[in-house]
Amino acid sequence: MFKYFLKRLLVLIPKLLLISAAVFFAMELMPGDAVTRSIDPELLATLQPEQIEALKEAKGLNNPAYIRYFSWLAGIFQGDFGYSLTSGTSIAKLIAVRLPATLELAVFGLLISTVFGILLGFVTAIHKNTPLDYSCTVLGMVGISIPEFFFGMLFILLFAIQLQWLPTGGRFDLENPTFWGHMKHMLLPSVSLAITLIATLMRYTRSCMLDVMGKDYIKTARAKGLRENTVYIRHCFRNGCAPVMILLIGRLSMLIAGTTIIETIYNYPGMGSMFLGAVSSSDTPVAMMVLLLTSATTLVCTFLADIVIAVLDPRIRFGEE
Amino acid sequence: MRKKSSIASRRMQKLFSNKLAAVGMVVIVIMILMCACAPLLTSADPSKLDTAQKFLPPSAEHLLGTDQLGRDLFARILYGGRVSIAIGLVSAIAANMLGVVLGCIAGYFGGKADSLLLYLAEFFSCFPQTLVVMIVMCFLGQSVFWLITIFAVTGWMGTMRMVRSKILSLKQEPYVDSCRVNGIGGMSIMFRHMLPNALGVVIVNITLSISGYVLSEAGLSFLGLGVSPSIPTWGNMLNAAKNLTYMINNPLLWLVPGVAISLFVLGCNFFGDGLRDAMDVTQ
Repeated sequence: MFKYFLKRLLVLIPKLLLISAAVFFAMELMPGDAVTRSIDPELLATLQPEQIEALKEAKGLNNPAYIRYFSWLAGIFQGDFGYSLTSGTSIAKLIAVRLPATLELAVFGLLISTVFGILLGFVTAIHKNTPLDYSCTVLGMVGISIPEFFFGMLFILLFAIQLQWLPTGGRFDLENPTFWGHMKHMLLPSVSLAITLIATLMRYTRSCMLDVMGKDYIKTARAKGLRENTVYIRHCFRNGCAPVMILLIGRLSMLIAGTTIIETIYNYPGMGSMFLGAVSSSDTPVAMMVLLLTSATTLVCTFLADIVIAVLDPRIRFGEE
Repeated sequence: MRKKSSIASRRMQKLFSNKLAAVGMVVIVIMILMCACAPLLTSADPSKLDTAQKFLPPSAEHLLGTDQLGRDLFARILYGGRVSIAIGLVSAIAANMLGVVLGCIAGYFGGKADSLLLYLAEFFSCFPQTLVVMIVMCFLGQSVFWLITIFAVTGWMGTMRMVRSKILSLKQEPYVDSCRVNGIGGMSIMFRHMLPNALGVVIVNITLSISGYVLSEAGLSFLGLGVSPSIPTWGNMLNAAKNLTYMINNPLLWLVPGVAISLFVLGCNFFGDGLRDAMDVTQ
């Protein structure tokens, strides 16, 4: 198992280098020069031209591109993400402000969707071909087909404007800075985020469960006299859940910037709205840094998925060794 | 020949006995026909501004009323649907074609070409499609052509993997060997003899990805990063109506395009799902 883990980890490194190189060279090709991108603009404003030249030399900005790439990469590991072109603030600072908001929203959305998605998938698989199953399947299809921003707009109209139960957007309530006031702001965005995720997860869990339920060892488990619930949870789900786990782990990359549309509708100050602002104002460094973080997270997620699958399925980890 | 047609007719029967799939197909066909025949259904110009006629309620002259710039909403839905559906259709076909060609090459030739293409697919899958599309659209300009190109370039990986594994299993079939013995070239075996057997999965995939691309276009345009706002599309109509005051006072402005998108995507998904069940030989 340890050997397998190490092997997967080693495969990860060249991939990370490749995507960071792609991001770096894409950034080189796009508008915005390296000086404004990598030197603090406040410092830059106080300097004479020859001092700027000396600083450029010291920072290695006159070196060939591949050397600059490695110093850029080393900078990232030290927390130096460069500077925004439009506001001049350091990108690390921007992210430190925005990331917690998106993490909060995405964690809520993922929690709601995971609990309800697996539960509904379970129930529909157990009650296969009953009216309950049919109605859930049709509703699931509807959930996949309606765009999340349309749900968001309907929710705002219904719950925030007609019924006035919940706020139309934002993250904090200055008049009601309690936990529940905060939760009120989270409810609509996280539910609108979760609907599509629930629908996909439900369909997925259902089909995975049905694949396993026809197997002989399920009959054996029943013949042994195990209770139905034990059969479903310990025998069906344990064996059928590998693809569901891959899906769920893949969703973790949403934590960085997967909520752009929801954040826009609800005026939520997270990474997604920062990314959108950066893209619309041609603030390349910020946009590319968000892209890099998301892709790196995606890669780490595939690594995690490999490990989880190996833990769940001994055939994989022994087959590789 | 007879055998083949009987399989085809059995599949058709299976497809249409699935009520949801039949309903889905009827919905898509009606919506496509309505958009295609837009000039016959309405005489209004979808881009004609008339500020004296803004926010009119539905009437005989303006079937769904007018928007904040006095444009006829019904005409905009029909003409917007043309662009939205065309983007979805062309992107789905382009992305799948790219996937089919690369998948055939990877599966048939194997070896270095295969591992290179697999690595490339993995590399492309690392980047989140929505973020890449948003960045590229901003730097290349918001045109329909670029949108479709970016969708195709970032969306071929799934089809490629699917076609590759299908071709790998088809390669074991005796008819492939007999083709080779008869001196037929690799390209011809690949595209004329093997591909038709893999086409079922591709058609299902195209149907299902049309809905995905219609949704992506709507999402991007909703954020203001899709097609240029001067062209009516369903997403652009939503974008123009997302302002809170319009949301409260003129709900038709965003309900109508929202329902249009949802209906079309729902139709595609039902039809595609039914198609997949009908194509599934194992059942």
